[in-house]
Amino acid sequence: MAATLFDLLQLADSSFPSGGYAHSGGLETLYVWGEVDLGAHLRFLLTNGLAHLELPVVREAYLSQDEADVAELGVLMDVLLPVTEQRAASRSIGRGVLRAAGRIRPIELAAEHHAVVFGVVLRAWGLELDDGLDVYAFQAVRQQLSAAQRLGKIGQSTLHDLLDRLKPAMSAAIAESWTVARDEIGGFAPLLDLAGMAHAKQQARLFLS
Amino acid sequence: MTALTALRIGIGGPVGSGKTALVHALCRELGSQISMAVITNDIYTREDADFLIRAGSLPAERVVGVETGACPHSAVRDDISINMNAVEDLERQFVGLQLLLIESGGDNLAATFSPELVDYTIYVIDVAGGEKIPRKGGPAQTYSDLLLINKTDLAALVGASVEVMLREANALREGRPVVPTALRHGTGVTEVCEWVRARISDGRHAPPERTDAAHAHAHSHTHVH
Repeated sequence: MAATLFDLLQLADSSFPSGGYAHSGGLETLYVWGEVDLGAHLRFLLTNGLAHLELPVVREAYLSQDEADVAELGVLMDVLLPVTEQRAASRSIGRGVLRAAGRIRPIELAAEHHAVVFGVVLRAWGLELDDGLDVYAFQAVRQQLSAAQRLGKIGQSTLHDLLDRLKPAMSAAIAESWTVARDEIGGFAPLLDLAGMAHAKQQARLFLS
Repeated sequence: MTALTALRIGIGGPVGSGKTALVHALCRELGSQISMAVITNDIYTREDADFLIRAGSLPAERVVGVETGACPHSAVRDDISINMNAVEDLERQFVGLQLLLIESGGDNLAATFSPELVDYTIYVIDVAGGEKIPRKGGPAQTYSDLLLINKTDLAALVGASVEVMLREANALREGRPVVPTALRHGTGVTEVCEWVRARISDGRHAPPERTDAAHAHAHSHTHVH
């Protein structure tokens, strides 16, 4: 059965159960430390973690040849996510997506990291990689904005103003991700890494990461 | 493949009504007789999980705390993924697990559990929250499998009538059981334990889709590292 727009919409739907809402990716700690320029933060995420790490991994997982290829991407994610909470978050969300997607259409997959799972699910559902990359980038930004809203830092209108303004940056990140070869995958975000590490020791936390 | 064998009971109720006290009491009474574990959902901290561990309710490895990243009902009703991850991990760690208590963070009267997450729910209200609570209704108070009216020992101090609360709760619930408790003093714990044992004997009543091939298949492969 050929994939339809409905398949893409379902995978992208905010009710698709991934558990992603429970994570802030270090944003909660950044706000504890002080003011955050949310637009600048998200542009950094897009040009760094998305363009150079997650989106290329989604692509490579989509194009993967066999189980060993997929397994190698999982190891790569473990290596390139230096913070325990980040790795746990990536695995937790990936397990959620795989559980939900695999329930609808059984998928042979021994992987947990979100980007890896997402790429394989896209292919298994017969969806286009370009569409999937759009969804992944959009969801990553949307998740951060939602976290900021739940932390009480922005309201619903600001959320959508920012989402609209960041569309060119999302497209640019996807375009840049295509220039990142498999052996060049990897980002560098020391402040976010520190925030991720500090988050684990915060006494009061809304988010798991 | 990890079979999900444990009966899963959700415990909900407003903040401070006695959910953690109930979990503690059940662990103390049942923990030495059956293989059980606890998942606590807290909004901001691991307070409930840490309390249960400090109090020696169960060995620390059998108590998992998750922060929910949103109002508690998000994690036990709307998107149960993070709780299901914890369920799978505990079932994998403790093969043959018989009982899993899943405590929600304190929430409002509209909060319920997803039928995909739990087999039964216990809802806990307390007399100190106000005599009128049963009159306010809501799905959790009305349709939970067991309703506890806790802190009955405080009734006189807060000007509430346990009799009135019981009468109105029973009218609301049309035969579903209501038990008055003072968990801190052990009152009613025996009745609740009997109810839990009976549910374990009844076994799981998971929705049919949980046992379909696609679901089992997905589970079997999420566990491979």
